[in-house]
Amino acid sequence: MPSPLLKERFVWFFVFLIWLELSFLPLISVEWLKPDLFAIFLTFYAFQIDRKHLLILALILGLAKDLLSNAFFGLETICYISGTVFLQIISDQFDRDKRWIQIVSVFLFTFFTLTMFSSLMLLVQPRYGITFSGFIKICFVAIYTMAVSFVGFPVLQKWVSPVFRQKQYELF
Amino acid sequence: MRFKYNIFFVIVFLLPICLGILGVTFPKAIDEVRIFSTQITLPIFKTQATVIRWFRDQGQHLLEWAHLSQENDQLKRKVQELENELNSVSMLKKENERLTALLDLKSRNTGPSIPALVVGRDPSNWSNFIVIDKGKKDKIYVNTVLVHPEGLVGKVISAGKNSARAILLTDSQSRVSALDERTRDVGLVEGEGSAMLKMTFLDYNSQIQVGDLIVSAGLGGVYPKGIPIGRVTMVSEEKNRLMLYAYVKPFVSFSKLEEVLCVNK
Repeated sequence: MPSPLLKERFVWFFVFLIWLELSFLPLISVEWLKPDLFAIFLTFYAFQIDRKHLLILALILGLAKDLLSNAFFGLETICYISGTVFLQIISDQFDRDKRWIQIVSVFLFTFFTLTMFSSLMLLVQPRYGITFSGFIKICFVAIYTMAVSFVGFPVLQKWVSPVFRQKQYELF
Repeated sequence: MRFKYNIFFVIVFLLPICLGILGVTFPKAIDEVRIFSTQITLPIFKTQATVIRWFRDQGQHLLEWAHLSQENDQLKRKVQELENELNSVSMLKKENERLTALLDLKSRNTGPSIPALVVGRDPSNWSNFIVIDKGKKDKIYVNTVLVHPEGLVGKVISAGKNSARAILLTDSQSRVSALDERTRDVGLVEGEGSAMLKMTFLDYNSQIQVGDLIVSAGLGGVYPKGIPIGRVTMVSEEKNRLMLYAYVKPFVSFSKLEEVLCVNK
């Protein structure tokens, strides 16, 4: 069970993250390609901090994105949660401390969530299903998010990691 | 412990599915929730947008300072030229009024326009909308049209008391009836979620060409007639070989929008 202090930090960090997504994203978006800052954070959290609360984080961030976007309600949340399960599988299989594995995971996570979103859109609104140009867009967004994570991970490592890490005591 | 985790896992997966079903069943309720979230975040983003605009304006003033006297001379000359032109235009205007009255044509009936600040943007890669700082209090309602000095922007899809969410022309759910100003061919301009617009349902014998100006046709009852949309960059025939389609480059730079004008029909 996280401590009250940690819970408070979580709340403030979420507020900050959502503010960043809404304010900072338009500044770094190239035409209509926007990097997925939530994907970078979730990957970082899965690899560097703790995997226990990852699903809850994905749920909250997905709901926030659903509220703030105009797409079919609930789709972003489903994609983030499924993507997080995929992320947990990757982080179980590979060395979590290697930076290149983390960065490739950002690409895979973004690619997975975006492809899933397009596929689900095909079920919900067949007219807006996945097309070739849509697939190219997914690839570019995933690459762009990966490129941003090159800068994002060291920043998160320095500023965010100490905020979430709970004190660990040596047993011996 | 394992059982507890599985239950939690199922709940986490079921919750968004339930929300999705809720969204299909009660789309109005979801709209209300979304506009409520916009209202909550509005003060922060409005202040932020105002501060950023102030700093940008100050920076621009400083850069322009050196050229002011030169620009002043140019503007004086321009005023003189325009005054001369104005005389001839007023004559043409009177003639136009007389001819319009003769033809019994109704002038375009648009209400007063309200300037609004863009305070929010869509974080998703799949939909394109903006949040403006004016709402029902300022007579902004659903289907209020947004324009920019460069051309058509979009329309309001949900309005709160002090803010509104508007869909952009580039959104994949956006449709505008449009016509080629030169050939008068009518089509439908659709967003594709990218920087370009697609004009469909063009007659196979249409004489539409690259470079033609596309304006709103005013057929759908939402958008007024004659607002510039963009220029044709490519023309091709549909797979069924019964119609043509064209790609249109919009005049408005949607990713850099800062202010818009809201027009009620």
